[in-house]
Amino acid sequence: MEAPKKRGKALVYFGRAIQAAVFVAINYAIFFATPILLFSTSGLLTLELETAISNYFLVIVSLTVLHILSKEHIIGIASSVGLAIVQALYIYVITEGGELTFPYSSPTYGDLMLTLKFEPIIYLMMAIPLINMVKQISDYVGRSSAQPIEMVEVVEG
Amino acid sequence: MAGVEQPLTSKGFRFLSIGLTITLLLTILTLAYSAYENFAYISKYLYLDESPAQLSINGTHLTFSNLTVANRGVYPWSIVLAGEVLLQEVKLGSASTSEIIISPNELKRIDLTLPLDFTQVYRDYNLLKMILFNNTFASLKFVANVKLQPFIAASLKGTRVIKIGAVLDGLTFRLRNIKPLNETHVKAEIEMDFTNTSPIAINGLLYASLPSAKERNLRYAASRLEVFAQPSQHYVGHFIFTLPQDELRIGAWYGLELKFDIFDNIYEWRAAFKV
Repeated sequence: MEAPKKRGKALVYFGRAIQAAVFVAINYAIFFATPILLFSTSGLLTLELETAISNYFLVIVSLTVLHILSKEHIIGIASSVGLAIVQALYIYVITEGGELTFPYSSPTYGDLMLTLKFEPIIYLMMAIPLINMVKQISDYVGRSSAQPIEMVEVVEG
Repeated sequence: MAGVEQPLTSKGFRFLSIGLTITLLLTILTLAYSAYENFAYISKYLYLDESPAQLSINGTHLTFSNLTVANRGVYPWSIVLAGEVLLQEVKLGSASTSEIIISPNELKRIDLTLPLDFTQVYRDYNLLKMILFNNTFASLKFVANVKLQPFIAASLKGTRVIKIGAVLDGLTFRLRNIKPLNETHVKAEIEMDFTNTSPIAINGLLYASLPSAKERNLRYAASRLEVFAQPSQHYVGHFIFTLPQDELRIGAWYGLELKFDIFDNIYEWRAAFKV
């Protein structure tokens, strides 16, 4: 009875490990490769920014893996909440609150400064992980309150 | 095993999240398309200098004209163009356009005229000296505030340098002729010429006096000369001095003391001429 149960558990964790690997790859593309490419193309990539992106990426990856591996556990929920907050914070920090300044050089007009303000898009981007966070909490609370009460027969000696 | 149905709130959050993601993706895609199309168009202006925009300056106004802007994206633009002209640190003038809305696939022409006031320049002795005798540079600082409604606001700041030539470029004095007036005195005619290479129309009074070579503290004054020269104009004027016959010697250099009164601001200097 114990062996199939253990095998089933191993299969579940194997499946979750694959899911985690897929999510790590997606996170790498969204939270590391794309920002690095965009910032280096626009000439805004500094060592400081690159370090910030790497650090945030590591935290996001760790929390993602933790969330996927311990989904039904409180640690999984906590890491999911942490992940949403870190993602929202990451979006805000690396875009400098939705205001970026690009230097641009023109032979006719000399050195130009292009400042882009895109707060509405940033808030929209930040809203998605935060809504997911609320969903996770709501699901967890719902699941806890719907937990059946286990009836245990007490055998009196 | 029967599937566990998700609670309604969970479904709602999921739909909200999917809806927001789709909205965000569509917004980013359309913005990226608009930004790419418009940036390619603007780059042609800024980098390849294919702009038909012209910058012209005269004594009273600086005009930035014929700037045509086409909206090739999918969102309407609103543009406000503002400019400020400075000579060194002195502000000569500033102006801005009202908000110009450019709908997708629309082309608009933008003109900006800045009134110029040189009063502060005339009051600053060093600046006055500089614009009278030296080539200098004014700077046009401009800001273009563009809004891709309602998502992005862009602000493009730059400076364009404008060369300003000297007002009294190539100023020279030469003795034109000496005519006897009577037995004791002569009439000396001194010619002055310069080219106004600046964009400013110059208008002032020039006072000249000639210190005596023989007597200290004695000066001979010429009649004042009204100097008025439009931009690019070659100006020629004459001073008439009444001098004792023996005051001027052939081959000698003499120093003129000059005072230029320009809108009640006086600049003084000395200039030499040879007899």
